[in-house]
Amino acid sequence: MKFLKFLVLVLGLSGLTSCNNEQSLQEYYVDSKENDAFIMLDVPTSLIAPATDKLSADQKKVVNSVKKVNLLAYSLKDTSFYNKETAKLKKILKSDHYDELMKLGNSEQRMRIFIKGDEDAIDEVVVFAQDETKGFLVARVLGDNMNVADMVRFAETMDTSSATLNTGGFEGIMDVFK
Amino acid sequence: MNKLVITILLVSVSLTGFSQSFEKFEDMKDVTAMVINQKMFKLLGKMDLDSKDPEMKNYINMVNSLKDIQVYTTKNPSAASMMKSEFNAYKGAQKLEQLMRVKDDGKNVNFYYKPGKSDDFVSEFLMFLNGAGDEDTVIIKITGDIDLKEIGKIASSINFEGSEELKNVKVN
Repeated sequence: MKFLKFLVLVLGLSGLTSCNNEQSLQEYYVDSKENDAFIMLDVPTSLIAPATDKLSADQKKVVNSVKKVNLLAYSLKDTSFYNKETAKLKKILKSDHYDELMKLGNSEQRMRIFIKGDEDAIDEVVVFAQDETKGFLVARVLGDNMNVADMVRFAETMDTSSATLNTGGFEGIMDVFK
Repeated sequence: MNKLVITILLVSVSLTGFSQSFEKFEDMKDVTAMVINQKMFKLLGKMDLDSKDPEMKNYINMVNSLKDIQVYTTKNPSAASMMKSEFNAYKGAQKLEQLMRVKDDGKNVNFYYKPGKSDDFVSEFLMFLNGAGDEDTVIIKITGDIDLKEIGKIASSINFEGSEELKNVKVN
């Protein structure tokens, strides 16, 4: 019995410490904010979404399910830093919280897509792209019960009025990969 | 108590041992890799849920029955020989059966499978293309509940180097 108690204690403690050691993606973002090597962009959806009074109730629901888009990019200057940071990110994304959807890669470029949450109620989408000669980029779409089917439908309806979408903010960050 | 510990140990060992043996090629230089996981198929299946088109429905059924697709391609001779030995080790360990073998244009293509719920269905499907010289060496691994007749359709939808070889499977 004593042994059992001890075991539970040890397990509990190891559980606690492992939680503390594990860096979440959010923490990684916060830590990296201080670092000038990174380019960060934090866009609330209210900024890119079209004026809500033009949308139907269904469309509003989709827009509201997305809270913000978070971008973190590193333009390659120091290879050892690049290796260290990509290894860190890979470790974070390997944790149980994320489900990997797919990955693509060739000898120099790699891309991985992850989601958090159920497949019809996604809380977070993470795209992690890296290029050994250019740097890496982590894009997060944060939301609440996002539904991909709804989004696709939404994107289809948006095509006709895409001019109302303000994507100018993204152009700067995309320059990193040119 | 001891039994429990042993069971847990065994389970964790078998789980780690079970992890895909081709995974190491994902991060290897000179290897082009594509992996699609089950969650992705579930999402894809959900996307066109209201589709009335019977062909689309078939397609969704097929997509929903897939667990994962892995494709690895390389032109690098040393990576190719590693892929070859890894594939041979895998097919031995998993007791895969050979479906067919094609020699076409000097390319050697081997198809293997693991039997599924019936003759037409397999639970695992592998293709190994042994590329000599400048040709690509390709491993394609598909798991799930796969209808052999649909392999050609999967091939046309993934559209990857070497995937055209999959279309030949349709013939038999």
